[in-house]
Amino acid sequence: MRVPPLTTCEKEVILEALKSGKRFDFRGLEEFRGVKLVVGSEIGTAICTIGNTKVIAAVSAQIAEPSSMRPHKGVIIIDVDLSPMANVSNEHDRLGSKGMELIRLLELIIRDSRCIDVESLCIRAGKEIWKVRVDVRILDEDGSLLDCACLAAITALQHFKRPNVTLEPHHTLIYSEYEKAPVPLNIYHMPICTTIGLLDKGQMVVIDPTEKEAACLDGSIVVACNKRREVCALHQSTNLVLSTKQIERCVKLAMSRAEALTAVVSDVIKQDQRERSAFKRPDGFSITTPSLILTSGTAAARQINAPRIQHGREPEEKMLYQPSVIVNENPLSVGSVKQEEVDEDALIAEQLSIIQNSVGGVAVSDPQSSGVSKRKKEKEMVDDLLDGICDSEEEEVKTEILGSSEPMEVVLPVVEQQKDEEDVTSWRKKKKKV
Amino acid sequence: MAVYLPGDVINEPSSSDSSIIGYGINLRGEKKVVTQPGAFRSDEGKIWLSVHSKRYIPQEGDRVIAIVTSKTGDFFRLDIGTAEYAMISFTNFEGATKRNRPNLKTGDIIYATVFDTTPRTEAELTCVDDEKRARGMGQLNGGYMFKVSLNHCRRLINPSCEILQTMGKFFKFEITVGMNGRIWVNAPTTEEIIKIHDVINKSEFITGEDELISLVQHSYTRSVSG
Amino acid sequence: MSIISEHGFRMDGRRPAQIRNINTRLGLNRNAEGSCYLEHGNTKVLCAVYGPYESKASKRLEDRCAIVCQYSTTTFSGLERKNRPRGDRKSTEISRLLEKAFESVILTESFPRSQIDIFCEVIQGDGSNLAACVNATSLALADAGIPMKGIASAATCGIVETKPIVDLTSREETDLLPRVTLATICGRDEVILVELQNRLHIDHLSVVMDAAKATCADVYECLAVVAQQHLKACAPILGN
Repeated sequence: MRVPPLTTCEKEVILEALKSGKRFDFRGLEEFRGVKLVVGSEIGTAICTIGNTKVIAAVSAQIAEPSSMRPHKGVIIIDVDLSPMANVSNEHDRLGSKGMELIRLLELIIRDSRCIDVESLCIRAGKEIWKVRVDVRILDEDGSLLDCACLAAITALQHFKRPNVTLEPHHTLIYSEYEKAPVPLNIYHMPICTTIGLLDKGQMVVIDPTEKEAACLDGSIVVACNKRREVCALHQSTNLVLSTKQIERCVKLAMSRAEALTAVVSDVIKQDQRERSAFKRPDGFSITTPSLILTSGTAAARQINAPRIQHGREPEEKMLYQPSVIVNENPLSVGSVKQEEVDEDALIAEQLSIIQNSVGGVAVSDPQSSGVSKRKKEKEMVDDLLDGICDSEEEEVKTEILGSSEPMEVVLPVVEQQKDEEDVTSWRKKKKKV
Repeated sequence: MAVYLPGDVINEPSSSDSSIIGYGINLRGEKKVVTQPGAFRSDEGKIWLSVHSKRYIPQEGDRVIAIVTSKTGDFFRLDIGTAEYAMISFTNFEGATKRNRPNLKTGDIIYATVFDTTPRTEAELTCVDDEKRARGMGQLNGGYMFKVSLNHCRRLINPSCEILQTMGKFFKFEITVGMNGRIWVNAPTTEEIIKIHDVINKSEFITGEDELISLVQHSYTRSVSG
Repeated sequence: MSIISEHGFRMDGRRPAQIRNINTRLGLNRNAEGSCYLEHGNTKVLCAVYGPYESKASKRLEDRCAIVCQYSTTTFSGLERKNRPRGDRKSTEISRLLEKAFESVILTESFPRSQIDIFCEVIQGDGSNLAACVNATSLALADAGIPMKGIASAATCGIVETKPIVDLTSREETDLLPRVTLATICGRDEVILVELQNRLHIDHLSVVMDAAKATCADVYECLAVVAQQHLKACAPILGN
């Protein structure tokens, strides 16, 4: 949708106010907006609110095959949904440059800075690993989008617990949360993002700009730091001309903010853990809505007379079985050759019968020998099949045609008569083997 | 004060002799059926609903604040917050002739009247009345513009509303209210503009007079730099 | 093998504060308004600049020139064959960074409603790819005669045990080494591009920044010499 353009008068007033240190929401130039962080009743979900910006993040995990280049490392996937709900200028179902920048930055902060121990996400090297997926959805946009999204994602990752697994020789057992407690992710550090706006060729610094302010500023820089006083990412959102001293100053501001917010995140997670271990049902996201809003929860409950239900026994088996990987099976040699051989032989037999019928009376082959030759073909087929298995199981397999009373010598002349067909079929077989 | 929802039929005794059916009410046969949720209002034979909305639909005769987006040919292309752009011809300004063109750039704002809303064409505005006089319309210089909901705008310019008068006791300012939800404010200092903006935004949901006075006082004494 | 040996040499025999050899050639592409081929040691980059020309309606800006940049790496530029030369996330990010950097350098107000296209192709990538692209683009823009605030120069610097190393090669760009790519105008303290990879402790930040700034100034000296030589070669045509 079209966004109304920024008027000259708005821009002038905002710039003039910023230059004299005033802001429209009565904040100081170096003052952050209040951060509200809530974790949901389902593990691995969190909502972060900074002023009017609202972002929700949800984490889920599933078992997948690792890439061949990193067979013992888990995979973390980040997905961002930027819809017109957040800002009318966003396109529906398509990530514009802003969305791509957001995904790239979240990947940089969460994946490339190695804040999560991916090697602990490995179940079986080269075969099974945990694929952790972080879904970030922007609900409302009013500046400092990266800060909010990063905070929500980090909190959700801290809150998330993956199912517990045990390795059995041929398969993996995944336990539900009722059998074995789920395991939290191994997180080394928490990178916290700060958006710093720049004005007047970098002389002035505006912290946590709202969207209107950001449109009037010269540029902005995003710094991600963690509690260990390390800089995890340094990213310029827009074009800017700065001096290195100013960059260092921005980094220092971001550092103090990171320490404060890390404490907030830890507090929220600890409180939620306390509530859960006391078997208290967590409030979840309902505490984000103010109680003044009329909700159905305040109306008087109506009694519903439901018919009596027979409670059946709860299903005991809650274990999920992974399909086991059978060793020593080469699906290629068993499946395809057999199928093709059968088809080819059937086709040839069909053609043979057509030729016989059309020629009419010329006894190319008598039914007995054709039966025998068919049997011989079958024997050869079975030999081929067993060849494949022979190699691995190292057993001597001998095939014998059962029920044939004729000794091999009698069979041979018959075979010679049909040498042509046999040769054709064996030639075809050889061709297939090659 | 009754609140009606879409689909309700109005049976107010004061509405029985009304000759003008206004906003939010449709006539279906003999019945007056409500189409938009709102509070019922009546006045001297007119009945209408006061509806909360943010999106402006152009109506002839409305005075709106428009943003200039581009200059094409003999027209300015304007944004009035509707689905389509609106336009104003160069000649519809006071003192404009073929030689003397108005000096407007992209990003400037003007106060104009909607005078042509033919469907399937862009709305056309004018900055002069029938006698080619401006009457307060034209370019708005300096100041600050912001958006509120449409019903709040209508409430502000209602003569019986106390908000602007109460503010006038504390602040010295100049204000223009557009029917498309846009308000332009000018004050001597930036600090005052910020406070006035804050008061107008917060006063949307304040009804009592005491509350209003305390809000304005609080804003007046509050420091803007935090 | 550690990045700096005990005698203080790096894997290719350089000292920590030494940059690689820079070879350049301007004006290669006949169709483009400006073009440049640049080598930083083994990193080979080709850049072409088109414009300013009338922009497409979607990219048109009323008051300034739009800058569109495309960064692509050839399939044979890295250690392994790359299937997609461009369009993957990393290339789009680097393209965006280049756009943002050059929007600050080029005097875009001189050409409203137009567009300048910048195409960078990494033919052989041996570390400091982004920095090489910035340098090549600056020279290509100078070759095209587009008005700028100054010639931008860039360098990538890392830090190993409190010792900064400049102009990294691909073998030194490991997963654990924090590195900063910095671009400045005319070697002065005006930064137009800053990008950090991997975690860097705050105490090391100023060390790395200073080293990067000094390297950018050194690279700028080289680029300035190249540009002057190219101009002198053209002088007879320009009517001395």
